[in-house]
Amino acid sequence: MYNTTQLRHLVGESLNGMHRRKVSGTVAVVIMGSALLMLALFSLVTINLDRVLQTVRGEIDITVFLRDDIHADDRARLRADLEGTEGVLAVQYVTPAQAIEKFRQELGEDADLLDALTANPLPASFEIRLSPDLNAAERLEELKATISGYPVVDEVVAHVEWVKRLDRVTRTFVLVDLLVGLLVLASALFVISNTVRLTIEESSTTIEVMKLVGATNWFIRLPYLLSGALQGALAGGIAMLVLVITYRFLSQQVDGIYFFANGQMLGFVMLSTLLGAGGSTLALRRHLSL
Amino acid sequence: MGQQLEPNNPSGDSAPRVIDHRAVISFYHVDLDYGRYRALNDVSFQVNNGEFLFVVGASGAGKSSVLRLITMDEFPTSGQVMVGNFLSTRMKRKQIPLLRREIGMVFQDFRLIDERSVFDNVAFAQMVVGVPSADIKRNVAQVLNWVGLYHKRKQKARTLSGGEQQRVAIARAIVNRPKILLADEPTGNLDPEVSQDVLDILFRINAGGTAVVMTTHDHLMVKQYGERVISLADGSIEADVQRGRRVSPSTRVLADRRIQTQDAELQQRKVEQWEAGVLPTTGERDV
Repeated sequence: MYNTTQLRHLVGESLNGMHRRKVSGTVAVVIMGSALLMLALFSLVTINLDRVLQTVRGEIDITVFLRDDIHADDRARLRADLEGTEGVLAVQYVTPAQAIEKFRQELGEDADLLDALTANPLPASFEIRLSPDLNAAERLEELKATISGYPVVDEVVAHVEWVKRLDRVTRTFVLVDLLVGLLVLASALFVISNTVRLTIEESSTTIEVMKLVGATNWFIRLPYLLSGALQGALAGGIAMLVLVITYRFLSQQVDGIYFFANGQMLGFVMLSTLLGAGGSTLALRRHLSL
Repeated sequence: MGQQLEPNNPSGDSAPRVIDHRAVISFYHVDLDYGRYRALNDVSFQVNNGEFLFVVGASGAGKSSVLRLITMDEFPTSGQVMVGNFLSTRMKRKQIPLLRREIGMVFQDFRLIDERSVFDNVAFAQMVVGVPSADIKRNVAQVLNWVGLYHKRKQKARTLSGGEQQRVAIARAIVNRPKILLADEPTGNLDPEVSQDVLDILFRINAGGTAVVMTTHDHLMVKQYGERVISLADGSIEADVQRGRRVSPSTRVLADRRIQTQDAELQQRKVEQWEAGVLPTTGERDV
């Protein structure tokens, strides 16, 4: 398509554009890099939070307290029904004796207090572990209502409010991610297109000469497109570098932090390269008429 | 399309010029409007291969519009323009660069890339169209030699005098061997002596078979050298006059200077050829 002299020109002009506009180019890369860093940080916080929430959700259970006079057959039928319910991971029957023993363990040193009891006041119960996928609070409310409908059930305790709160936090974080993403998109397009615009204005003679001697439109546009893409790649690379350094530091303080895989980081840099090229395209469309 | 200029070959100066009477540029009843303003009104003319055409007229008469229509920077509001094999009414945007490769352009303000060297300015035109670098070196050296600026090839364009810059611009315009050379007031910024040098170079290019269209305000120059002159007034052709061939006296001086460096026999032959080419042929006649 292009010979080596032309390729040398294309690459040289792209780098030249950045070199000539050192200040605005650096500012563009720093702004875009910071914006990308924010996006990456928010994404990481969201991913880590979600992982924590998944774990917490896995431990949440519904406790179904049974009536004292329950017949063994009814209990077995209820258990079968519960196990067959969508979103239920496991159902464990806890006898009154097991319940008091568990309570005793939880009290620890104060377990002596239980010795004062003449009879076991705790009822038999089913402890239900739910699937982590069952994160919608509405679904949990529905489940709670269904179980309460059984005549052998005395009371159902579900941590609905807690789940609702977790859902709200997750949703907020996802929303913030989206907003930051949009902000990054807008800022990247703006700063890169502005730098490329300045380069285009500065190179008006060169562009005119190129048109004059019969350069194709693509050949004229390419250096500016490459220049924007390079700035985007540079900004993405810097953002990832800062992120890796931050992660290295944090992972010494806190265990189990989730971080991007190499492929994801590469994807991030590619995304920022595309954003840079997008910014250039915007500038070319508005400021370079061929 | 006719004989090409051979840079570094003195025969371009001395050989009889070739005009094969095939049109390289044709305007057919061209109107050009800029909004409500009519820049050209029913303009029709042809430029043949190897012809030298002066286009004269006051500012706003439509001279630059004619050139912009030839490069297809503009398209006629009505009528059509044909340049080589390109027809304005069938032109696609992506064909425009191909058309421009057949046209060399020289401007009053030179339009060089100031921060680049003389060599790079000329080489740029070859690089853009994909000439291999080894050929670029050879061709640029030849053409710079031809305009007498090879020794300044490493200097930045901005450090040259006006006349030298215009010669670089001409070198750039002809390095890709165009079939047509358009010169938009090329002597407008130059003093008379330098203007004469530039005009001589244009005549020599034309002598190699390249059609030249030159716009100018300088009626004296046209009167002295114009063999075919189109006068524009208010966007219309006022007169299209064909006269006998005129060659500037300094063309002979330049040719003689070059000839002196060659052996006596060759020199004699060249002078004879040159003399044959420079003598007025049919005298003045109106078409």
